[in-house]
Amino acid sequence: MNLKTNVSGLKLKRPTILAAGILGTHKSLLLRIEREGRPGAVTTKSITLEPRIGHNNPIMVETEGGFLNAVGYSNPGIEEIKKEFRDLSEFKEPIIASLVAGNADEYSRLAQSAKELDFPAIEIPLSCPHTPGFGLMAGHGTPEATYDIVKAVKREIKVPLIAKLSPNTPALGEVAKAAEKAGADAIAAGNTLGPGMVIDINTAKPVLDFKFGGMSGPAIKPIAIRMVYDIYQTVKIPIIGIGGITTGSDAIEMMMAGATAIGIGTAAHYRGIDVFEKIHHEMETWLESNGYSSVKETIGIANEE
Amino acid sequence: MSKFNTPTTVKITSIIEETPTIKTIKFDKTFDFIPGQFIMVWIPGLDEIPISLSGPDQITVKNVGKATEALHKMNKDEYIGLRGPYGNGFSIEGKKILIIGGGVGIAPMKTLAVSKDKDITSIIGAQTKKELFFKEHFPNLHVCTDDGTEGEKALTTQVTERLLKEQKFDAVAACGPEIMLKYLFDICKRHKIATYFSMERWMKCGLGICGHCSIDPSGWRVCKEGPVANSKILDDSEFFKYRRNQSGIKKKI
Repeated sequence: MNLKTNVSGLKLKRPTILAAGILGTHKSLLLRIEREGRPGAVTTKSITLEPRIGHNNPIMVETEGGFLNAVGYSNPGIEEIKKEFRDLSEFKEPIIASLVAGNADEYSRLAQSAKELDFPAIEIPLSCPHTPGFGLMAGHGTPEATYDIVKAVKREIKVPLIAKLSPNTPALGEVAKAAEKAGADAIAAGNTLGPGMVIDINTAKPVLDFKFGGMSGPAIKPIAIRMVYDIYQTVKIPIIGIGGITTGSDAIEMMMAGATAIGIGTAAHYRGIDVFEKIHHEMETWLESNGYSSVKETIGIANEE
Repeated sequence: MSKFNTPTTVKITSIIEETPTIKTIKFDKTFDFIPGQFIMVWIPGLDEIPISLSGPDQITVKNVGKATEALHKMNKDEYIGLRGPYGNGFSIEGKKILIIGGGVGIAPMKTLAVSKDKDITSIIGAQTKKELFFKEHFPNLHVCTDDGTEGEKALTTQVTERLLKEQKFDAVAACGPEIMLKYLFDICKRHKIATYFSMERWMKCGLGICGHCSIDPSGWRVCKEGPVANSKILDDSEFFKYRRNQSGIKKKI
């Protein structure tokens, strides 16, 4: 079965991508995910200009059908990342660098710095719902901010640029169009939902240190499917569908909505690091039984206007 | 519906001062656990930290920072949040085991020391007599202190070296400061003995999804595949060399 897919020049042998923020902190761990899980590509934990400690614990709490997280973009900063990731030759598949900053100017400086490494693609999340100064808490969810940031990064890099949008954006279609107009090569749809909260009634206290956290996991899949469906009708560039995908049938559902590739995160908790390989087998089985010869044939077929 | 990976808040039932710096906190919940497993402990409104179980209903904690200081100041009937147990625990092949606990590392080793199906010899070490605790739980016990105020005036590593020469053990299991474990590992390697150390790294999610506690070069997750590491994991790794801080920056040990 042909599981190959192409996201604006980012060629994937298999259509799954390790989503940013999951098990992407260290080069050695990303290599382990590649070895044991065999995703089509992996994404780093989001990188900022300066080191960030992020929020204190608890940073994660389980809910019905998923999790809330408020990690707060903890990362060692671009200078340390450049040391750790100087040699990317051990990676057999593409490794996507997720870069995040507070405004277009910072994004530009960050992209310039990251250029020194050979990342085959860059993803910029414009969509975190729970970190002050970034994403939605910095007003990045508007068409104007999206256009400015995408344009600023596109100016600096030569590799495919993925703009990662939030399901919490009211003007989602406009934001997607703005990203496309500014030169984004693909849209990643979406990020965590909400944010939400869990309060412990015995202590009358919110559990997460940041109090609020973005929701991920199977419960948000319908939201992500709808997001992909809407964006597919709005832009021509390929879409990476992310949100609650846990099985092969989830992945096919997402591709039928309009996704060219699938981001997987929380499912690595439910099904293990080899969730990608499990999903590939499930997709193959379904595609074969249903008369498809390649996974590309499913892209957008549920999305006829 | 309570979720496994969400803290359950329970009342503290008693607090025992083991040493001037170490307290055992007992709580109103019983964990079904393997020796060496840990729980994530939420100090409501402040922080959540990983602590090894020192019994089904207790943790034994040294005051080393803000979170542990807050734990030390808590009282009976106050609520703490708990989730777990997490981690692999000790799974030791063989019958004749040498167990070593250094400082507050004595606490998790106590849960292994009470195993009925092993032939156990123990070493516990602390800086001084006042910092020793749980002595009554360790069979065939050799005590050592840095200052000689109780037992031998020696380091746990020195006592280990002697015992490994005198007796034939199937395995060594230990918990303590990483610098102690570093020298202990060298001794174990020289004696070619199966080694199991309970290790620590900065933890965030504690459930194996954020990646913060994973080590180089294997990507072994301390919270998920650990915290107990065998010789294969310990050798040629970042253990005993460096660890990462809250941002993930490497710091020499």
